[in-house]
Amino acid sequence: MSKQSGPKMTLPTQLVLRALLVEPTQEMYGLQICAAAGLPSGTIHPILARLEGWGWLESHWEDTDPSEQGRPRRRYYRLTRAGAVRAQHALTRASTPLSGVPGLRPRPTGGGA
Amino acid sequence: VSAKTQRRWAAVSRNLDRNLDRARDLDRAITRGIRFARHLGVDLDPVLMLDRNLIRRLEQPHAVDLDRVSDLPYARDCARALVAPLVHARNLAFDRAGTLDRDLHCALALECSFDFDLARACDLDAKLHCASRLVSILDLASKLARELVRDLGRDLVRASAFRQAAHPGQAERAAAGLAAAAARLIPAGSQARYAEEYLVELRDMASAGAGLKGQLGYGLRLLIRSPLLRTELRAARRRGAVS
Repeated sequence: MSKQSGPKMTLPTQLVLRALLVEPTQEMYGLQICAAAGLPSGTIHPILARLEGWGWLESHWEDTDPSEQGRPRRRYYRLTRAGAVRAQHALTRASTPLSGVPGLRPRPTGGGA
Repeated sequence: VSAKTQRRWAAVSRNLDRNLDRARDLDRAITRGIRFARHLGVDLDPVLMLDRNLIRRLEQPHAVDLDRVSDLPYARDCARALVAPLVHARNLAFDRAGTLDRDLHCALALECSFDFDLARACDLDAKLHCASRLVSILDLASKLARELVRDLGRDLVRASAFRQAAHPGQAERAAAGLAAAAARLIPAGSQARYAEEYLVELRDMASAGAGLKGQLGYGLRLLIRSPLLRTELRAARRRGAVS
């Protein structure tokens, strides 16, 4: 059994990495990443935890006073320098065929289901 | 020369003097009339010429010799000829005076109209000045209204955030309950972090106008993916322990 050298590159993971690689130095919080990746809110935390566990991402709390802002602090994410390079290579290697993604299969041209 | 002839020439001479005085009176009247006619724009030079000829013809025999009266018939003809131009000149002057009278009335009417227009123009100018001040005041009011709307919008967002923080709505309470439940399913060391992260995302969604369905959907997706998140966090901790 070969040792895994990086996170599992599922299609949502690829979408998240592509969204983060648009501006690798820019920090984004969860809902921003969801919107940029085109994923539903509440679905990316496992992906972010996986990428952070592999050292591709780093995160920190927003440096503001919650009472002044009237809301809790946000958690901001950003690709690490090494993570950006590895993510770029991983996306280049990744070949997730659309036919392998449930719900994205092309419809049959005719006949029954 | 007999006494009778002398008396006769003396009478002729008196008549001649009288006629000469009348002709001079006529000449003065014609001269005044011609001066006035020039002001009116009427050309009476032919009349003046006839008048001068008449005077000359009357003065000449009186000055030189009463015997030489041959010019008197010519003077009489001149006087007769003078009648028609004088009547014409009088008619012209009368017409011209009538025209001038009408023009004067028109000018007076125009002056009245001009006074009226001037009064209206002054009135309009005053109204224009007021309108210009009104426009500037309205511009200022519009600017103030825009600033007020912007500030009120900002205050409304802030007040809404504080109100939601103080009194979360029913949808947010239910979704917050789901998020809290999702946070309790992950390892204890990460629960506080993800609970706070879920809460701020829920507040952001509520501020953005997400309704009951959207917020509950968010909470449910968190809850469904909690086992996967727990697996990822444990795997990361194992890798950290190995490295």
